[in-house]
Amino acid sequence: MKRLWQLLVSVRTALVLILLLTAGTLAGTLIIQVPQNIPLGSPDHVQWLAKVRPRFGAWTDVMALLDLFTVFRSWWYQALVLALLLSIGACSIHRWRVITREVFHPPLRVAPSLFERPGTDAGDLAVDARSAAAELERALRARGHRVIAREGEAGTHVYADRHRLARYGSLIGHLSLAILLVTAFVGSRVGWTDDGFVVPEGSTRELGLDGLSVYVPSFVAESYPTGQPKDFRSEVVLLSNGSEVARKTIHVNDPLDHDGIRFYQSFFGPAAQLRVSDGSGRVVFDDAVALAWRADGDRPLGSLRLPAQDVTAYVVAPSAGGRGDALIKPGEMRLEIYQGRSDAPVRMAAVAQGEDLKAAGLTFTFVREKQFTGLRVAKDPTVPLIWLGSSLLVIGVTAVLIFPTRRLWALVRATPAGSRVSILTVGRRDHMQTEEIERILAGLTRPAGAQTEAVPRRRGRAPAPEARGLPERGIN
Amino acid sequence: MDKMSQYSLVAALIALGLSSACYLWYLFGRRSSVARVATAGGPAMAVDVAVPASEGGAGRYGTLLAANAVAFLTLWMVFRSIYTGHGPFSNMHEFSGAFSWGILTAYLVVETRYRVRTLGAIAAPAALAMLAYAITIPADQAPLVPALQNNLLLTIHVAVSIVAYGTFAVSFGAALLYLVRTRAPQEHLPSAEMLDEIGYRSVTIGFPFMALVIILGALWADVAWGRYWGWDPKETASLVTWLIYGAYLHARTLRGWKGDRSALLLVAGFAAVLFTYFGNLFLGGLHSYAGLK
Repeated sequence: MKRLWQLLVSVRTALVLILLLTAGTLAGTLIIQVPQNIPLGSPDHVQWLAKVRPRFGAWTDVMALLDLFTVFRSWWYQALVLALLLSIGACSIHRWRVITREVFHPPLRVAPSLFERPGTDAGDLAVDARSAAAELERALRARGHRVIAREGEAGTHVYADRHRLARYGSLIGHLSLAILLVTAFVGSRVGWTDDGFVVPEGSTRELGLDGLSVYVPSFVAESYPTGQPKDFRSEVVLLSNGSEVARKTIHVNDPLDHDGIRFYQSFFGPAAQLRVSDGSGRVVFDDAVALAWRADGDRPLGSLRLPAQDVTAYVVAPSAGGRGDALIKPGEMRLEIYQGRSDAPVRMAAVAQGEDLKAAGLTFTFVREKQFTGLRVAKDPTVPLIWLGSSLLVIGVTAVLIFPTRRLWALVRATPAGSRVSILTVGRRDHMQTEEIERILAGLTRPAGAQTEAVPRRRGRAPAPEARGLPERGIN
Repeated sequence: MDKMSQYSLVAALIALGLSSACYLWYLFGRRSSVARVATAGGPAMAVDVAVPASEGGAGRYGTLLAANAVAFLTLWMVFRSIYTGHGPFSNMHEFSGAFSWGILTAYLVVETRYRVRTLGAIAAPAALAMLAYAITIPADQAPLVPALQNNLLLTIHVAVSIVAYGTFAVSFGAALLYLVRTRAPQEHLPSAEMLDEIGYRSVTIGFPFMALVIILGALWADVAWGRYWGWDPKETASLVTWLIYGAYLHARTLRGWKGDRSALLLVAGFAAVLFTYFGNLFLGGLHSYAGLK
C-alpha cells in the first residue's frame, strides 16, 4: 500500500503516464478513427472496418484488436486517463501540506553557516547593520516582496517572498484537470445529444425529449457569388404540447438555448413535398420528406412510411450537383413504392413536379422540391463545469509558470568596516533571479541620501557571462 | 490597402532575409575567427579575440533588421485587417505571416532579456521560412465559411496560438543550441545552463497560452458545433502538443531527465507544433478550411 502510494505521488510516474497518453493521443491523431457517432460493435462499425481494409490489409484485424481505430474509446486509453487522475489526486494531497507550510509558515531564518556556502551573494556596506537591514528591506519591498525581519544573535535575519500564493497555482492547475476529466466523463453519461435531427422546411418534428417538437417555418442557405457557403440559418419554433415556448433564427455560430437544450445549425439538404391520397381521394399524407441519406451514385434519399396502408415509399433525388444523372433528370424525384415485407418494389418511376404516381392503391403526388435543415440538439448540464475547470486551469498554470514564487533569505551582519549583507536562495536559481539579486545588492550601494558604498560580489560562480559579452566556460 | 499590405510583406521579407544572413554570419563568422586565432596564438588568445567588432556588428545589424521585420509585419497585419475586415488569421497565408511575427517577437524579447544573439541564427531563419511559405501560398481573401464567422473568437483563438507557437519556436531553437553545446563545447555559444533556462522560460509562457488556445477552441466548438470536444484531428494534435510540453515541465525537474532528454522533448514539442499547424492540410476534419485544397 505504501509502495503504491509512493508510486502515485512520484513525478516520474506522472511523466511516464503523460508520455504514454501522448503516444496514445498521437496514434489516435495519425490513424483514421471510427467516427464518434458509430457505436462500437454495431453493424456500422463492422462496415467501417470493411471500408478501410483495402488500406491496412491484414493489419486491419490486429489494429482493431488493439483498439487503434477507436483509441479514445479504448479501455487502455481510459485506463491511462484514470491512472493519471489517481496520480494527480495523490500528488495534490501529498503536496498540499508542503505548499501550505511554505506559503503560510516559511522558515524565517536559516542557519548563519549556510551563508558561508558557495552560491551565496554578498555585499559589504559602509553603514551599520541596522541601516543596512532597513535599506535591504526597502529595496525588497520596492520589488514587490513581502519582507519579514527578525533580530538574531548573528545579525538581522530577513525573509522575503513574492507571488507566494502562486505556489497554489500548481495545485489549482492539476486539480482543474481532474475537474475537466471527471466532468467530461459524467457529461458523456448524463448528456443527451442528437447529431442529426432533421426537419424539412415548413414541417414539424417531434424531438423525443421533454415532450418537445420543433417547427421550422423557413430555412435559408446563402452562398457567395463564388459558390462558397456564406450563411445557413433556420427559423426554429419550439413547441411544447402544441404551444410555442421558444423561437429563434439560428445560425452556425448562434444556437437556440431553451432550458439547457441547445439547437445548433449543423447541415442541410433537399426535401420533397409529397401528397398521398387513397382510392377514395382522402389525403393520407401531406408533408415534406427529408432526403437526408445517400443512395447509390451519391443521390439524396429519404423515406416515408404509411403504417395504416403497410406501405413504404423511398424518395430519391438526382445525384448531388445534378449533373448528368442518367436515371433521374433535374427537377424530378424517383419514387420507389414497397408494400408489406416484399423486397421487390410495387412500382418505381421518376416523376416531375406536380405529377402523380399510382401504386398500391394510392396516388403519390410530388408537390414540389424543398430543403431540410439538419440540427444538432444537445443537452449537457455539465458544460458550465467544463468552463469552470478551464478557467481554473489557465489561472493555475499562469500563476505557477508566469508568476513563479520567489523566496530568499538574507543575513545582515556588522563588520569592522560597517556591515555585510548576504543573500541565499534555495533550489535552482535562474538568470532573472540572479540578475535581480545582483541589482538589489548593487542598489544598496547608493541608497537615496546615504553615503554608503558596497562592493557586491558573488562567490562560487562567475557572473552571467554572455551578459558581459564574454564566452563562458566550465559549466558543462 | 491590399497594395500597402503587400508592400509591407515584401519589406518584411527583405528585412528578415538580411537579418537571417547577419545572424548566421554572427554565429559562423565568429566561429571561424576563434578557430583561426586558436591555431595561431593558442587558446588563451582565443577568448580575447573571439568577438571582433565587425562580427559583433553583424549581430547588431541582425537585431536591427529583425526589429524592422517585426515592424513591417505588424504593418502588414494592420493593413491586411483593414482590407479584409477581420484579424489576419483566417487562412494559411495570413496565419503563416502571423506565425512568423510570433517567432520573431518572442525571439527579440528573449534576446533583450538574456542578451543572447546566437539564438537569432535559428529563430530568424525559422521566421523567414514561415514568411516565405506565407508568400508562396494564395493570399486570396476567400470569404469566410459560416463556422469561421465569429470575429471575436477567431481573432482571440488564433492570436493566442501565435504567442504559444512563437514561444515554442524559441524554446526549440534554444534546445537545438543546447544539444550542440553539450556535444561539442562551443566557446561562442551561450552556456548550456542559459540555453536550458531560455528553453524553459519560453515554455512557461507558451504552455499557459497553448492551454488557452485549446480552451478557446473548445468554447468555439461548443458555440458552433454543439460540443466542446469531439476528438477532431486538429483537437487531438493540439492536445498532443500540450501533453509533450506538460511532460517537459515535469521532466525538467527529474534527475535523469534534465538536460538532454528535456531538450529532446522540446524538439519533439515543436515538431508537434508544426504537425498541428500543417495538419489541416492532410488530416481533414473540421479545421480543413485553410484556403488550400
